Amino acid sequence: MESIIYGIEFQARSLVSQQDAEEIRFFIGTQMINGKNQIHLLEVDDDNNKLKTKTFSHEQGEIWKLTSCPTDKLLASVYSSNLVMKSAVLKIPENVFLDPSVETLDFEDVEVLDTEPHGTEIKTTEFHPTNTNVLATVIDSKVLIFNRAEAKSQVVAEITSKNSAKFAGGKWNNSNQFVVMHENGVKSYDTRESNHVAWEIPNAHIQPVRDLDVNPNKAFTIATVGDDCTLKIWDIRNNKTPVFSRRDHQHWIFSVSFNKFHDQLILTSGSDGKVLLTCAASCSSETNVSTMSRDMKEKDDDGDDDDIEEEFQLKTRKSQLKDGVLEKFEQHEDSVYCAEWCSADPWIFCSCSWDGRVVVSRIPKKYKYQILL
Amino acid sequence: MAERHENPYDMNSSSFDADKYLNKLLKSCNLKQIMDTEAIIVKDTQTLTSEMQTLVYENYNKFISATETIRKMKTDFLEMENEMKKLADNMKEITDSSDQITGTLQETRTELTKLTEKSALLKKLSGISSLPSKLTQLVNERNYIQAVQEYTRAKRVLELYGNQPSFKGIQEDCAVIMSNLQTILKEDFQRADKKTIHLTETGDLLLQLGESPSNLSKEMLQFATQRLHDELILLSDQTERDMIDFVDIGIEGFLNDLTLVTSSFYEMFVTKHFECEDDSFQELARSNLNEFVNKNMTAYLNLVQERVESETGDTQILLRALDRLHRRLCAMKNLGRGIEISRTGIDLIIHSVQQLCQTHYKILKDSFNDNLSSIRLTLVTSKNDGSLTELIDTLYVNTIEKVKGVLQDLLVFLNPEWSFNIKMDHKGISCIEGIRENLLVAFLRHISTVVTSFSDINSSCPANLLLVLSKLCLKLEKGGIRSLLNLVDELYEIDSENSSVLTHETELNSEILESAKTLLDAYVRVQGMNVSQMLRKSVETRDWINCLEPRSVRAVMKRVVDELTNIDGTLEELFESGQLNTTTSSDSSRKTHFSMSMQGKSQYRSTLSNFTSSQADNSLVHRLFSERVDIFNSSVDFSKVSIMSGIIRISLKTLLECVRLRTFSKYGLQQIQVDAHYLQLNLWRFVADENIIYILLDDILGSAVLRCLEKNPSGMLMEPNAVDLIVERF
Repeated sequence: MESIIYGIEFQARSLVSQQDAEEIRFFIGTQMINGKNQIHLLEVDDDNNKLKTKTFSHEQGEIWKLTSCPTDKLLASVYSSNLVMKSAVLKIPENVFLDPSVETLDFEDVEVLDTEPHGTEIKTTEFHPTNTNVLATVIDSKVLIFNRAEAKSQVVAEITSKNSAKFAGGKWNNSNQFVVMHENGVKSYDTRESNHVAWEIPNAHIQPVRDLDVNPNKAFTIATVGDDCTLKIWDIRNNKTPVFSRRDHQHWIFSVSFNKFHDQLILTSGSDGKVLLTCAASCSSETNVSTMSRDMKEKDDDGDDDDIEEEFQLKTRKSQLKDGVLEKFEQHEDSVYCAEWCSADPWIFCSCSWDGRVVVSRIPKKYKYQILL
Repeated sequence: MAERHENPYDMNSSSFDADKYLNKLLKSCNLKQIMDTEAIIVKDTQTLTSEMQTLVYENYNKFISATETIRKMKTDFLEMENEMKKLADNMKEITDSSDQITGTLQETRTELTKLTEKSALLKKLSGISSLPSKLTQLVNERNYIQAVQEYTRAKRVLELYGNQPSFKGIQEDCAVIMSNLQTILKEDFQRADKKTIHLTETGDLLLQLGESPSNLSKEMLQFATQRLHDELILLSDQTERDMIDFVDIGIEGFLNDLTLVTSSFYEMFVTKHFECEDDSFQELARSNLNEFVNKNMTAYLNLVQERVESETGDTQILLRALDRLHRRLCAMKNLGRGIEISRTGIDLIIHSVQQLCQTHYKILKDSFNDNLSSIRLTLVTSKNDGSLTELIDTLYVNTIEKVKGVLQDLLVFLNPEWSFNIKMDHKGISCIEGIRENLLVAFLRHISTVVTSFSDINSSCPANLLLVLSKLCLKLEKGGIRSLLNLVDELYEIDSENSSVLTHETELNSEILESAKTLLDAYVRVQGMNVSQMLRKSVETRDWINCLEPRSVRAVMKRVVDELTNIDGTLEELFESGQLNTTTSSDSSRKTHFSMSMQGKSQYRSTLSNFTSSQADNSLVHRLFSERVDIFNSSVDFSKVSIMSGIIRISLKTLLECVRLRTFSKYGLQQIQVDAHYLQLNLWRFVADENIIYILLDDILGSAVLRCLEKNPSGMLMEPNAVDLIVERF
């Protein structure tokens, strides 16, 4: 399948894959200071290789960040309007494609979170991985934990950095830990015991960290990217040296994300206009037995193995993808601020550049087979 | 003459025919002639007749005297005959008498012979009877050789008459003595401290005494092994000593012994033929000997090797020692036919060459690392950008000279003084090639790896170090590698051109060039990041909403330009400037660029003027018509301009990204406009293709316009003249 290109007429900085969905759905938020901002819904018809699109109006302001709830049909947006930044939880209506004549839809429910007393600069609002009602909002140098009640969401906990520097964003590590990007490093806070730093990687990068992702399948493994053009994967139990590092981008990297199903596949995108698919098999959860046994073999192997076994080794070796960049996607002409894996299909991802170009791409078949077989 | 014989007209001829002659005469001559001829013939006839008369007379006298003589002889012979008869009679008498005498004497002589024989036998017997005491005496005197000789001599007699009671005693006595002797000899044979030369004697004696050669040969080797083993243990305690001493002791003790044992064994068992043993015995003995020799040699050489491995001192001494050893070992090769010493000292030497290579390789690596750290220190401590060229040259020359020195040092192995010739051996050749491959080539690769590691993700090193290293690689590529390879090929007479296994120069060159490129890329990245950092901080920390109307270019822009000028200066002395598109950097050309860029901007203006209505369309159109420029696609090459472009590209891209993350008021936008214009005026001179700069600056301004709060942001831009004025004034 060739990649599908979709053009939005406005600048766009945010993209998210709807997580609680059977369909292959992506939401793209536009970023315009003066104008009616929108959230575009792209649904990929896998059989016909076609796109179905819908536009939701988001007149509240320009969208900086979109996130999706893993357990419900909800989105969270961070937007600014008249220099004030806000965050809202948006409910995606059912049957959006029911009426083809309607071009612009509205979200079923919009709840603006009460962030104003806490700060000015909101970076992201992240849904709790399992609890639909818990949200974390990164604002200035704080993380607010919201609990969505019937009427209104309430701040139930607050994490404040001792350092005055602002957080650049964050993600849930697991149900109880929230990782924030803090200048050149990352810190993980325990949400039950506020202000307790569970662990940190103080100088993960030599320049600010732009994004991070948590490996969903392998505990203690996170990926960070930053202005130093570097992708690093860390075992958080060793915060001195990364277990994997690559410098394949030529400028800042703006996003990083693990494939939820095959976490050796990592998607990064950056201001050099490229989307890179990197394989980090050596530190993925699929570092399988064959690799281990092969390593063991190599150690005590003196070369008098059976041919058959060798052949077998060769095969397993073949099937093991090598670490490094697998593929460069260069359909974008401007900076790519977001590249997201599809939540429903492990072989599809979507990227969006500032000039409004959205590209839905597929992992080349050869890699797919190599991973599956 | 024959003719004359047949000539009937010749008077002297026998076939003379008087008639024919006369006829001829009558026919052929006139009267006068005939008359003359007649006269001549008559005269001749008369002469001849008188001559004949004289002759007859003379001969008659002679005949008479002869007759007289014969008559006298006849009487004399009669007398002689009588005398001879008498003599014959006498002789007969004599013969008779002689026969008589012989007959009488015959009996006496037979008796005499018998008596003589008996006396000899008696003498012998008396010797045998005294044999035991004699043997005992000889044994006591330790004159074993004599004893054995005596015994062997008597042995047969004893065996012959052994069944007679009188001899039986003697034989038994002898046997006891000899078996004692045998025991003594065996003990001697087995004793450790015995000199090997005696061993041969003893062995010989034992053989004569009827010891089985196979047993004896086995025993001999067994005990020799034991003894040599002891010596090795002794030797292994001597490893503290000087290498030469160590080898000397080994040669004096162990090798000499081994040689003696081997040669005596060879003489005793391999060259002789024993009747009592199989035909295959000699072969067996030979193979046993071989095994023995090789086993011991291996043990010894292993010991020497251990010693060599622990050797850290002077190569010369080591070599002299090895040379001595090698000489000795070569001499040992001629011990005997069929003895093969599989391992020779050459292995050892080759091994030590390899070992030395390793050491030198390590030294080279260490010294290179030291050089690097000292340069790093220099770069970090002396903040002034000093002369990088000097540093590079020092590093380059140091490295090259060090390698050359090492190559010269290793040349001692090929010194013709030595008795060994490494090159004779195929292993040796590969070892020599190892100097090239495992030392030089490996070191060059090491350089390449080490310097490349400075550009690693996790390494943080001063940008100038990257530059120095890149330049070093470049210098190596430009001729350093070739000169070193040529040197090694020349010194060691290696034909690398035609070899398929040896690393070729081009291969190394491309590797090092790759390193140089990687380092240069890293340099561009590091410097780009440094400048980026300044720009990023300046954009992030400023309040773009509430700023005042721009009166001047922001100071940070000047710092950025200064920094770039600085970098440019540093690069100037190291790299060629490369392709500058403007040959005339005069004021007029700057004006042109300026107006050009103004045009570019006005184009933007036209796009932006109807921004509110169909901004996106126009933006798309703008994109469509401007060729897609991938600012990161052009790779950096080794020219100042290219490097500078790289740095500037990264920096401006950073500025662009920073601008896009911010929101601007009218004055903020105008400030960006002023800054961009300032950059435009100051950056073009660093690069080859200023379009890149214009595109990026246009993008920056365009993004700033998009990020502006005003309803009609493009209308908020300042007049070009005003911008110009501000920038000029700055």
